[in-house]
Amino acid sequence: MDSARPISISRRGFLRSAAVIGAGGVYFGGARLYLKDDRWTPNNSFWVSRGREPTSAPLVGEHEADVAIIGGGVTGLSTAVHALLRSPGARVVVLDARYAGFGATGRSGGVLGNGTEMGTPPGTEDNVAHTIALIDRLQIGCDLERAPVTQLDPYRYAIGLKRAAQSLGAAVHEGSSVKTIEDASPAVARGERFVLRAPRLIVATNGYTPKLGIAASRLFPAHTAAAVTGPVPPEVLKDVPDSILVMTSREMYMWGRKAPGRRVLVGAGAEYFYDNGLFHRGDPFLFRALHRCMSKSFPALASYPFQHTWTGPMGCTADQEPIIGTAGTSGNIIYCGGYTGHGIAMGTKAGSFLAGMLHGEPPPAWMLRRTLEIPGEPLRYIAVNSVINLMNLGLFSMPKHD
Amino acid sequence: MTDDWPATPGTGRTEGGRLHASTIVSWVLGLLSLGLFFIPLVTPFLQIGTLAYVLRRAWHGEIDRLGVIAGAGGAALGLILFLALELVWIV
Repeated sequence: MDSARPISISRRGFLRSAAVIGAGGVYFGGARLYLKDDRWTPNNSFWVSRGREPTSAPLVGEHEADVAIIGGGVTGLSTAVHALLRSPGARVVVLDARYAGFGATGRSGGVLGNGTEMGTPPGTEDNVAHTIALIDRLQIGCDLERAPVTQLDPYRYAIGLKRAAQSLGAAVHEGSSVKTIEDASPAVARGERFVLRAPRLIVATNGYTPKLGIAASRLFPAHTAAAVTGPVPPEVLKDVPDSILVMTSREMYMWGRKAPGRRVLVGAGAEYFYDNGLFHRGDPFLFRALHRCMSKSFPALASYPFQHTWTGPMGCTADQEPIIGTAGTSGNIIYCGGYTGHGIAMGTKAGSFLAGMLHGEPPPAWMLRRTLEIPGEPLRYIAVNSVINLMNLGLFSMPKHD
Repeated sequence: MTDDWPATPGTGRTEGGRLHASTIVSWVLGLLSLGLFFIPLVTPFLQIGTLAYVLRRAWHGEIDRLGVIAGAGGAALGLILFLALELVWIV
């Protein structure tokens, strides 16, 4: 073997290789610059369009609490309520970057179901009954319909939970964006104008969690779209089922419900944006495709255009099941999320699990399971969207429990 | 433009009658461009690169007609499928 033979390359070959590598660098570097966007999609949901509730004052200065909760969605507020029902007088502080119900909670369809996206693991069989019992106990006005489908106005549900938490003694601060979480004892949540220290810190930010540097390898935001028609005549509406679930392929589906004001609400799709992106730039085909899908399933609705359209990130995990985990050297930072669009009832239940953890009660073992670690960018963007595309094509599906 | 353009157009074979390496590469790239059309970011680069490679080599006469169809056709069809998947996401 002639190991001493020098590697020779012609000038033309060198220039050609350099051109290919340069073109690749420009392409991938340019794609990264184009795809990365640090803005957040505003909540333009039908629910919020019916009237925004006044927000509470932001947190300013240095504060201490027994329990700090980041995230004013259904998980965070349910945790606050359950924690205070169990320990009246505890100092519970809830922080939200924008306002209660801004995230996935206030953009969901508001349909309640038992179990998760993938089945009915232990502890989730009674999610709907648990949520209804909480609504009744706290007397939350959220347009709850118990039959034939259990559904509510998710934004008003979040507002009701916020008010209940406040009446039980929690301090809820909206417009209080946490910039960093410090792994210390007590844990520290730091914003631009505040510092909050608490021996137990609950991160209930679901799809927004990776941006805080927590559970970044386990949780990711996937953006989904929803829309609601204008008022539909009763003779047309009677032919629309109370609960819509139309398979658009083997795995992806269009979901929907009847909404207040004789409207039809539908939603579908999932898309991951670069670097856990939280901003949807818009897509001229998105809602046309959704309307086409709705019209194909319910031809009578074809002449009723959408009156409200919105998108937003939902928290997902690699196996599409919610998780609870701990972070920090002393495990005093607890995170929860990844409902994959099934977060209203499950998130309410997760709040009771999280409150139980504050008292040393472990949540169901399956929620503490190990999940597939999702790589960093650009592999994350490529891998997550490849799997979503394969699911859209019906070539891949996650194994379900039942 | 140089004097050797195009050389021996469309044969896709060396003087010894064997398939030119460019023909085999064209087939491989065309099949990859088509088969991996669902992978974002990577696939459009591969598809556009394949089109450029195949057209350039075909001009030099290093790829036979079937190789051009496989390479350029696979890349073009793959790109169309990728765009359709990205833009018309409810299937």
